[in-house]
Amino acid sequence: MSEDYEEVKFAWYRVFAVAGRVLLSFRRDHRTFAMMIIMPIFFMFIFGVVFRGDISNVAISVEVQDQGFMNPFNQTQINFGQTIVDHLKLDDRVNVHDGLYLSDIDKVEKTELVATILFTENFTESLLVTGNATIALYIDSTKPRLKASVYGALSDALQSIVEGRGINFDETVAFQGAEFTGLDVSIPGVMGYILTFLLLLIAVLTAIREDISKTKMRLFVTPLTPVERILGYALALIFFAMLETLTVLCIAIFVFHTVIRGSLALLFFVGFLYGIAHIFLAFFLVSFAKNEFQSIQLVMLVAFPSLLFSGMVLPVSSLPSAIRAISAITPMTYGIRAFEGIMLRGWGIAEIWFELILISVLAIVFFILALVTSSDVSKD
Amino acid sequence: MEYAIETRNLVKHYSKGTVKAVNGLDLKIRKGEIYAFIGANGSGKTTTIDMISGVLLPTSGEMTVWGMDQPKYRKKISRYLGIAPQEYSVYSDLSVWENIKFFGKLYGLSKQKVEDTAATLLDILNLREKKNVVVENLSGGMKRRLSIAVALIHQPPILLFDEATVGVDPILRAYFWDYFRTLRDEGKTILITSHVMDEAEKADRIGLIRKGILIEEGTPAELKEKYKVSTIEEIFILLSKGDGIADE
Repeated sequence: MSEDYEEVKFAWYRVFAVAGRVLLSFRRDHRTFAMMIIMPIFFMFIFGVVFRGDISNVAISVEVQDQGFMNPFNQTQINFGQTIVDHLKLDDRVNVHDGLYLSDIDKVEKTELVATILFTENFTESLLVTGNATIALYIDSTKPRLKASVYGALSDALQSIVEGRGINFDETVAFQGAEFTGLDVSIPGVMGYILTFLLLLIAVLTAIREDISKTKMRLFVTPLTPVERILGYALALIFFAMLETLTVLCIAIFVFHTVIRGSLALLFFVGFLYGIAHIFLAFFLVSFAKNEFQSIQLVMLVAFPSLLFSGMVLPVSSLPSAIRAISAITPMTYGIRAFEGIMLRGWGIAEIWFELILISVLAIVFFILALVTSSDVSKD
Repeated sequence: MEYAIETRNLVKHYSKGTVKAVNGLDLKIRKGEIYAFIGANGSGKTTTIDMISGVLLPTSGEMTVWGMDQPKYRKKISRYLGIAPQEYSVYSDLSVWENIKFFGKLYGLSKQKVEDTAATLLDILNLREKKNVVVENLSGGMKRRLSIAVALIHQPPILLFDEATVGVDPILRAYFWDYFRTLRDEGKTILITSHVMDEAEKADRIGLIRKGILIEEGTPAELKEKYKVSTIEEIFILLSKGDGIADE
């Protein structure tokens, strides 16, 4: 009897039927379809904005004590220190302020400046008479790319005088001489990004599951209020935030041998606040999603700009002013600053209180937005 | 307060008024009765349940549930309502017991109260053996029983069962109806929706809804007598002018 039946063979029409069904579903899901068009445009735009420009506007200060030297042959005054500074002021890579070397050291320690430079009283004379002169430099080494920009600008400026020959740098590194590898300085940013991406993802997927399983409707017909619901979620998810912070730190310390100069407890406290801000942000985002696919796209819509605009890739000062406004409302901007401060510079609460306040303010704003957009009564 | 649920000229329009899901509905559901809200798919039954439960705002009209204005007092009303939605609406990754316990906690029940009530419900709904089974491993009928158990955990006086008996086998359906009558005898008010007309025969009163309008209401015997027919289905077809077209 079985020989009457035709054997089932591979058939393209079934493949096309499946493909057609998938495309039809996408076409019906207008929001997802629109996102698939808009997202690449958006990402190309933000990546273009960030990677088109080089590092610029690195804040430095200069003090020119150089008295110059009178050329005995033509009686003209030569001042190499001032000439170098004039060239530096024309260089986009650095934003040069006139300052006082000794007092500006404190500004470098507070990361208000990347470096402060001193041209001593006999800089020109020494260079002309002995063929050697020294520039004193107090510089932040926790940001190698910024440091490289300062040296790049200085090196070009030195070409304007005797091709820079005979000039030495008396470099003092900030934060008790802290020198770091590329990995060391990357860890705080990587930690910030991992927390941002994973927490947003976990939180939106957890929340959207209530919609998909229709349990949300049953929850709405209980005394549970939206405030209680969001706080309940946050309480559970903060556990994951702490677990992720711990995991990232363990790998940094035990695998990559990263030295953490500040307090681990403070680092966890920042991780806690940072996690809360992202969980509330996720609850705000999820109110715009109707399925898992949309919710993941919304996470990417926030996570990628956070990565690019937070100062992790390029310093915020190098970004266009409109983008800097986005940086200002991105928790990752302040999270990375705080993580860097604690891990690389050994900062305590006295140095990062401003970042902690800003993360807390953003957390409160996201909580309010989440609350406003997640009513438990529907109009349609 | 004679009525457990009362709606006056209740209206729900979607898509800027182009879809009229509920169109001037006047319902009076007495305390301690089983009221079957019967209509074809898309006739407005679930929309009505959603508005009565407070999760959907009406376009216009008034509602009172247990004497309180809905949706104005919806959180207060939620303590008086137990709902078994059309979907199972339970957590598929939790066990039967964990689901019941979770919803019990939301109503502020003590641990002892949850355990006592849940034990009774598990026995009545024949779920005791499945107490520790994760919901995703349960059959459809078991999930439906759990959905009803969750609706009853806080022992509310009003129960809203949206298509609660649809998709279950005839034996379980008969069991459910016996249980609904027991609940009614204990003083609970039950509003049950269904598109299966013979379900209506088992209710105390029936409301027939079509295109968001209540087209007939009464006890099964009254209606059959009025239209001189032997089944509720015949009345529905008669009132739908025999077109047999669902309202979707």
